[in-house]
Amino acid sequence: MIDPLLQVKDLKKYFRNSTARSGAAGKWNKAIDGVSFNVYPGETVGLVGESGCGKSTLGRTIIGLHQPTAGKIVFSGEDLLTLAGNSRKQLSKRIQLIFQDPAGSLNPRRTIREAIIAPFAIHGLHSSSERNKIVEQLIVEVGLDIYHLDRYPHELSGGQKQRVGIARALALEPDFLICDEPVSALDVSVQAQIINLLQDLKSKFGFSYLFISHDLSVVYHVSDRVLVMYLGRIVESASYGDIYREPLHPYTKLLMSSNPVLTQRDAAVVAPIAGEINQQNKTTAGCSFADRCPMATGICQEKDPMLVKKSSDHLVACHLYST
Amino acid sequence: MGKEKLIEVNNLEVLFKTSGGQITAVSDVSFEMEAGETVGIVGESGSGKSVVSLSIMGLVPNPPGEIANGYIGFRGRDLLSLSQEQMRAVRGNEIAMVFQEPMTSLNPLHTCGRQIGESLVLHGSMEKSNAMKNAIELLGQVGIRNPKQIAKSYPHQLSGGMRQRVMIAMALACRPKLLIADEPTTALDVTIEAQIIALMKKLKEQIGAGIIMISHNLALMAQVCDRIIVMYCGRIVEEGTVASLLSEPKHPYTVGLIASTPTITEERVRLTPIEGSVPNPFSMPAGCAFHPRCRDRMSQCESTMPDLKTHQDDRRVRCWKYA
Repeated sequence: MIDPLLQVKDLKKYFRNSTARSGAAGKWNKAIDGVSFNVYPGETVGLVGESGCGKSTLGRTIIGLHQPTAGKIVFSGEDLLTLAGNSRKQLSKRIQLIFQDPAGSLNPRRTIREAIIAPFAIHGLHSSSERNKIVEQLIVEVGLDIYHLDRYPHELSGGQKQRVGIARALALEPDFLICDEPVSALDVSVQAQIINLLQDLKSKFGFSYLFISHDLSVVYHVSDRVLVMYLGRIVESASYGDIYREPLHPYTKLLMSSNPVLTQRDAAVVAPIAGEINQQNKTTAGCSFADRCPMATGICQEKDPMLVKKSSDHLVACHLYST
Repeated sequence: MGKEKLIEVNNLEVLFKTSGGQITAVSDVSFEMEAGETVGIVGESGSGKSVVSLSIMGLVPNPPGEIANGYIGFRGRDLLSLSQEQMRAVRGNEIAMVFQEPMTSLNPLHTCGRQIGESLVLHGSMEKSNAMKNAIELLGQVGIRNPKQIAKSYPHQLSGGMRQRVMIAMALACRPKLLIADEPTTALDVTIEAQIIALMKKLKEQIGAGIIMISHNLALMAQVCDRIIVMYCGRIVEEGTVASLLSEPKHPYTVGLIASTPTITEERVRLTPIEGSVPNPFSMPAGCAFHPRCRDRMSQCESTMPDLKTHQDDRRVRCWKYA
């Protein structure tokens, strides 16, 4: 039985609402409201959801850009939240983030070479000549040329910039990469190049991915397992095959049927339901999806469903499936 | 004697003068549309698809843009010969538009009801009081459950999906003959997108408007359109009915786009991306603009631009393979 690389346990991240916006939601914006899941070595876990589901906040909290309100993040057996100082720094090398906006995450006044070397400087690794050698290997690894190293970000296309972001993330030889909407800002033809690159790098180096995207087609394509999030909670967790063959949660079914796919034109489409995500958070007890759910019953308005095992690998938070 | 065409574009050419030189945003674009048809224009960055729609609407900024050549006929009228004032009478009245970012198309200082009413007053010579009543009715028709309240609201008080419904209500207020929707759902969640698309389809049935839908999302077009026009670097490279284009794409770019698009099917197939990226408009390749990226290129492609040729089944292809 292999140990998980990452264990997220009942993670919560609440943001304070400004008093002007409080309204019915009250003091707190519960961006992540009790999330638990594992990522195993060499696995790609896809995280999909729409606005306000908390997927980006989750990625950023795991990597340490936000301080959690509650819960635990255990990486390689170590509690990230209690670890401090040098141990924390050592461990942090092993988790890297690839950002959505390739332009926004590269310093416009630094060359590509400098961008990729930066992590070495921060961690005091390698001599100057070693750094340059590694950087040259990395740039080729991500499908660019050595001459790109002396360019500035504005001289590169969106896809090229994203490759640089990936090269930079690889610099410290991580075990685990969090990809936050890595292809959303790219043209379709370039998206496919980057998706293939990420898959090839994974085959070669064996890391794990947490792949965050609003695009269900992309998530389905790359993931071993898929987590579906809604308003700060995981509502379903299953292998990609189960999500395709047997989506359980009414929200997952809605996502699947709303998602336009090339091959699906004549397929029976679940009628789009009215209503939108209530961004004001739940103000009442009960399931956060109840107000939009075509299957909602009395208990759905009263009691919050827990994430329970439907089968060994398939979890769902819905009263329809509670025993 | 044939039916009068809703839209007839002939040899459209649009140039832009920039500090870096002159670029040809649109070249040799010709197509037609009958009343009640839904035509999709798909393309990536630099394809010129948005410039085509701006040209039809008379909204190409001049300077720096200039319609250097071409004819645009709308129900037999030469739009390019109309004065600004005459064109204003057509826009919002007979030709309506919905853009990607409803927040930037709606006036933040006026209520939604008033903005919808504005076109009724301007184009329909309606009384203001009557216009408000009509606006509320229109909001109801676009699926808003509390139209009176939304009519009194300001744009910033509404979600993205709601705002887009307001835009659609505004666009349809004067029962236009043609609706141009430029990336209408790109900024929206997929479940909301499904609602908006269902709404557009329903309204199209009801008022019989023709729709030109512009998007980079081929899968979405497949759900909505009768015909698809594929553009690359300012030119039409392929056109055909949805079913035939998607099942038997001819132009290598169309083939590449389809093979690049992740889809949700039982078996996952590795994506086949198109190599390279869209050329810099200041350094367009000689011959066919797509040839540097084309798997099937021949020597002819490197020197001479192929013509757009019509084939069986109303298919048009701009490619030496099919000359």
